[in-house]
Amino acid sequence: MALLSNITNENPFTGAPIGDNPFAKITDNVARVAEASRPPRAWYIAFGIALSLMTAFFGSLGLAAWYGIGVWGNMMPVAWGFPIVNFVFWIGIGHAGTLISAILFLLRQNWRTAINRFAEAMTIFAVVCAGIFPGVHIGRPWMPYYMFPIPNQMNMWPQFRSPLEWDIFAVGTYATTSILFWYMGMIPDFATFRDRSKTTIRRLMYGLVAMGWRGSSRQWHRYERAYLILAALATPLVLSVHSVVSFDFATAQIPGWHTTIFPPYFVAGAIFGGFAMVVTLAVPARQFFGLKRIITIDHLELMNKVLIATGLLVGYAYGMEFFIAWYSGSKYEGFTFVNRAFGPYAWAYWTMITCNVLSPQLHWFRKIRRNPWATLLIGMVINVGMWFERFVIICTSLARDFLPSSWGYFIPTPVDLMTLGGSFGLFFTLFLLFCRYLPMVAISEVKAFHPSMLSHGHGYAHGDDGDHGPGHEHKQVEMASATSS
Amino acid sequence: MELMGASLALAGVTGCRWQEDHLLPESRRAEGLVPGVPRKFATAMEIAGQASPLHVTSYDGRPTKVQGNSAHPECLGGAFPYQQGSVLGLYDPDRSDTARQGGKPVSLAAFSAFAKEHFAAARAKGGAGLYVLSEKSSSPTLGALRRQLLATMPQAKWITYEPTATDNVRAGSVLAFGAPYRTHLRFEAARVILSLDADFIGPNFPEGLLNARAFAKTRVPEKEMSRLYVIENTYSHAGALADHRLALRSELIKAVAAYLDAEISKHVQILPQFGAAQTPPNAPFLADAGVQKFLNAVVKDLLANIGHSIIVAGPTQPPEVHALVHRLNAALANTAQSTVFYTKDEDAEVVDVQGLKALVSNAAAIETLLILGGNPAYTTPSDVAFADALSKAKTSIHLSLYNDETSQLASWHVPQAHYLESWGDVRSHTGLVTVVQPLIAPLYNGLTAIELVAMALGDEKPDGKALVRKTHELLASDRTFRRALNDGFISGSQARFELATLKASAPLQFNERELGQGRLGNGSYQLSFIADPKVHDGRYSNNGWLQELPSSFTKVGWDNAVLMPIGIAQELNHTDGYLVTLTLGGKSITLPGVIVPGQAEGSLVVALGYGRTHAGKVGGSAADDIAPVGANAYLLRTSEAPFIAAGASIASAGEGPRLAISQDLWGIDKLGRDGIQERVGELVREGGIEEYRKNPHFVQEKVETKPLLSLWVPPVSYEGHKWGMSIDLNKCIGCSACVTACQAENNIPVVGRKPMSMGREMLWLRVDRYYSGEPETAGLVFQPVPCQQCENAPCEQVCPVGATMHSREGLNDMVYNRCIGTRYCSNNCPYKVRRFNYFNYNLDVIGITPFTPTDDPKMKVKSMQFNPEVTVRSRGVMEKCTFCVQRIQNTKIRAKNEKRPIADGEIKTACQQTCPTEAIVFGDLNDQKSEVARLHKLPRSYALLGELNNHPRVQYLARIQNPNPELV
Repeated sequence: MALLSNITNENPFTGAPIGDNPFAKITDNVARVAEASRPPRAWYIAFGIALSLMTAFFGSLGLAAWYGIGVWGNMMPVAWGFPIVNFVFWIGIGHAGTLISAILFLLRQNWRTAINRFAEAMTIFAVVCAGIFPGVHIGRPWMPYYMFPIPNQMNMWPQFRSPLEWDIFAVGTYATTSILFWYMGMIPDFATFRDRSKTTIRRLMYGLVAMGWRGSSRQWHRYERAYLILAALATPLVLSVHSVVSFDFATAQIPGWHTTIFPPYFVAGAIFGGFAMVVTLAVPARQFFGLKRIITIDHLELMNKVLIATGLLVGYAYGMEFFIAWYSGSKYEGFTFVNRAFGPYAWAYWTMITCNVLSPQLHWFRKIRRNPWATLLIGMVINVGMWFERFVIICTSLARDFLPSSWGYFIPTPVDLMTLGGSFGLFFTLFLLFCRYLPMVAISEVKAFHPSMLSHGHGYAHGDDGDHGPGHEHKQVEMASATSS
Repeated sequence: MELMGASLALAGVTGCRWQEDHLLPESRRAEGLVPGVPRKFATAMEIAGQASPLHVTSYDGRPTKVQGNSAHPECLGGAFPYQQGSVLGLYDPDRSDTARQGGKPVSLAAFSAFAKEHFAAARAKGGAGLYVLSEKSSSPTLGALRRQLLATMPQAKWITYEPTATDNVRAGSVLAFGAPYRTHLRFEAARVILSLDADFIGPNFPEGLLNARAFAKTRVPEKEMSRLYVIENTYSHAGALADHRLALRSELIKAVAAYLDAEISKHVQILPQFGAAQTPPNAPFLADAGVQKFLNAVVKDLLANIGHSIIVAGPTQPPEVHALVHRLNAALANTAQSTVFYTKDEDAEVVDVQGLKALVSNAAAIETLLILGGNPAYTTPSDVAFADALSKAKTSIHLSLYNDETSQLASWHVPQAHYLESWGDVRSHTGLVTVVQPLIAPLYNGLTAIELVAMALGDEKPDGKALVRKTHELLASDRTFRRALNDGFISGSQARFELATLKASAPLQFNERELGQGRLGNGSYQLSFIADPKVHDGRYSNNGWLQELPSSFTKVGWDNAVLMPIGIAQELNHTDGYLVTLTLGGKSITLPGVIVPGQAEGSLVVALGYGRTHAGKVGGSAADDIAPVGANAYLLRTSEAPFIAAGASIASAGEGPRLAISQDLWGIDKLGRDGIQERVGELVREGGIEEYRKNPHFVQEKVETKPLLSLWVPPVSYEGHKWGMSIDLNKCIGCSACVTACQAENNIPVVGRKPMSMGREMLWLRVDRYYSGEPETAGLVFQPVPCQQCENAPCEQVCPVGATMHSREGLNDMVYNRCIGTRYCSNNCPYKVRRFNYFNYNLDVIGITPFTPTDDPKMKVKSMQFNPEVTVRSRGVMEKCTFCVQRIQNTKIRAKNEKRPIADGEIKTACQQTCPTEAIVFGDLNDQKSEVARLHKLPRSYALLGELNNHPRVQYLARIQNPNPELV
């Protein structure tokens, strides 16, 4: 049983990696996760929970499709409830992965290599979760293809002025580009797995997806070029996709939605929430899969700094919205914001403020931002806060808009909650499968920026587990190396 | 009259592979009947003795839509929600479809055989032990049959009982004139109107429709405007339009009337034979500064408009008040100068509570109790043990539409024919007789009241048509009969206006309560019982449309509530909408308590007609384990004080289930209330007539907008028809008939209590109700909001699949089969007029769609109400007001075939057609001579939320009041 092997020294995940040079150690550290005969016990527990949540997810979607979307709490005037909040939430989460993969790559922030693979995977799975919602939240979910520009005998095209239509293209582009980027990035690592595989099936499966990678310099050259091009393509998507999603609201007339701050506000929020999800995944992953040498405390610290920065951006946006609502002189706009803070949904608003504005401020304290479990906790709190931000934007603005006669109060139903929780189930199921079978860390990239490639010779030679005190921080930032001694 | 033109007979599946249906066409088509083309027939319905003349649209032999009779001088096309909702009752699957003996179904033939023998025996005994309990009816035929029965059977007793009717008006005129007269108000010449607790434009007031229309015509600020003062107990439709309103409990009106008499008599010459004026009563409330100011201003205004005023008292006021009002009208020369008219009121029956009590106390002597309609086991006062008496009667026969509470106890139940299946007649308040003609043969072989009485008189096969013709000599000739059926009234049958001579009136006596003395606290509140504006006395409890219709003032559906003023709510620390226990005379009911701003201090109001146990699957059915809708206020009602009772107490009873409201109650959080007050002045624009005359454009200036720019030239030039609508806020009384008319016309489903409490009601048109000012003295305005058919529609821009498009004539077309239900259009609509089918409401409610046929014949009957011109929507699609595009298209086709232009007013949307006050006007804006084009050009015409640059085609005419400068 996996339990027994945990108590012995031969823990396949937390013991010292095998190899006589740093590169071999890195390879082993990452590859052994997929090659272990069994995943850690924590994986089984998590997978069990995720799988049951995912089943609940598809069950609740089935209920909605069978009986009608009245099984949710949607009503008039809040015609968009949990499904759209979930959609924006999941799409937002995806952006952090693309930012880490693409933008940080272009900015030569080489510390990204420890986390970019699973961050990108997180993006893919988040987009999968997100993409389901626009399809199922519609009243007649057997007809989503009407939104696609498919030539037909009626000569009917979709209505291109609609932001929901733009969503189709934006999210579609995002999904396509992300999958290509992620997959292409994994090819050298698939080849590594193929070459190390001990069974025929593994060799064939990994060989299939490795697409004949031989590691020749010509292939490497093309790989680097292609990586650069895809990074350049993916970079604008970080800004554009969530901007387009924000247009769902910004182009509408409703006070609380109709504001030009939304595109940058949503993008900042997406990065914020996405990084929070990245740290939420990183902390247990490095703990249970023994990746502490690769995903070090310094990486966590850097991500927490990004959280402070984006958290402040988001906090600024909240404040600016309030200011503009007052400054505009529009009584509807002013009322909407005061209503958010002090009306019937005040509980949601203050949850959002506490989770999004107050909690990341704890990361100003070095001890907290270098503590993995504090990082995890604050990451989860921020995720909750970001979900509530979308809830506040969508539901409170709709609940009380122009005409007081249409004011209402949205109350979620159990099916709503099951759908929300279930989407996490889908996400974690996919993510856990990724952890088990796919290269969790970008092996080739980590190696490319190993200090032994540069002047410093620290690293695996000391056999320590990667946690360091304050002294080394300065050098790490200077050299921007992927692993530290 | 035709039977169903084509009938679908289902053949049994007798071993064939496919189920066979046989269509049986008529072998000879009746003249003028083209299949698929609707026809209109004139008929009438009667509620509590009040007649409503109607036009009913019939498709292929089934009536689908009810309108007012536009040719009838008393309604001119208007109708209230009772009338609009009545057609659904015809197809109610819970209707009784068989006669019952002791609860067990028997055939009608069995009943006829029994009746023949039984009544023959009764006739032989001279009617001893025979009691007939009938509803109040204006029917001359029923009256004639009653006289015949009492003549043939002198020992029989005929008692008329109508729970919501009162004899106070009649008694009042006897006090004043010595003989019963009916009062008719004529508003054309009236400049000042004073209402003493009278909702004279409401559905339960005699000539309410006529009054509404005529009164609305005096509320046009571009001409001379009348001034309306209302002194009332709780908000009513008249109160909503009042220029000045004073909230006083109903029991205090008597003192007010006496005060007015005293004051007015000081300044007018009253002939000595009219007697002395009343002395001003010693009532503390009259000394209140506000009340004094109000009443003195009223007196001054009345005196300044001698001969051009109307004073009217509410039917539930005691007879002395009515007598006093007659005296006041005479003193002010209104009767001489033609604002108040009288006709003799000879043959109307008295609502006989004493007779009912005698019946009950004499229960042992009842041989046969014949109950014609009504539901006395449910509606009789709680101190009259009618249910007991009914069980004790040796034979009891209840003629009723439903197997209701009374039929449960009666030994025989006979299914009644719905008015749309009946021959009969009714007499309107002015005496004009309308022949009631059936539009469909009785679905369940029901009998009418006149047929049953005829049966009791020995007629074995009673024929309603023959009975009616026999009653009226004017109908003897076929020609006049057909003419009467065509017109919808027998011309020449109205009563003559008479000169009523006033008698002297005695000095009024007051008790402590009527002077407003004594402690007014919990335990001594006044409790008023009113006929519910939707289910009336309970007869429409099983009507889904009417249950779901939001009440005019509270916007509550699927429930009744005790209405309370803010003072009582504060004392009780009551949260608006939470449950309360209402106790009167030791009996209690628990129901929601709703705060009504502007209700009189110390006054509680509760509607009758709820809490029924045997209404049917909609209203409450013990047999089907369906909880009653609302609470039964009849349990609190006694025969001593059936309308205005004293001594009520109220206590909090916890939160209760969410109310099914279509609009927030007044009592939301303070932030919300302030938010409403901040913007309501722009949404519902109001002003005084002086302000309007000085600066006609003040309405536009209420909202400061920069010039509204457009990024592009609109692609449509609207050169053909340009449909538009104008809604006059000066005229809307909030009756919500338009809402029910729209529901009937457009196949709008009923969703039920829980979905409505979530906010999922499907009504395309809604009437918004806004309070303004302090809750003790709040003003109130109604604003009907249909789809505004915006030229720059926000909904069209955001639909990803193009399911909502703009037509060349300016309509925002909803394409149901393209809609996939993203609901973005609803989110972007600032007016929130779009409705979404969250479930397949039609399937759930009707039980039949094209995809799920049913063999259940009752469900098939229910689907007969659908208007075949309008799609029945499935789940997952959006729907909204279409300006009755089916009517527009039909008229365009007809006009095109006849090669002529469409006349103004030829197309009437359902809401416009039924509006009693003609507040809604629809037409072609490109037709320069059309009414709607003229109204759009008025300076007080504004677009709701016009600053959003939506260019709505619906514009509102601002509410201009005519306040008294002394009271401003």
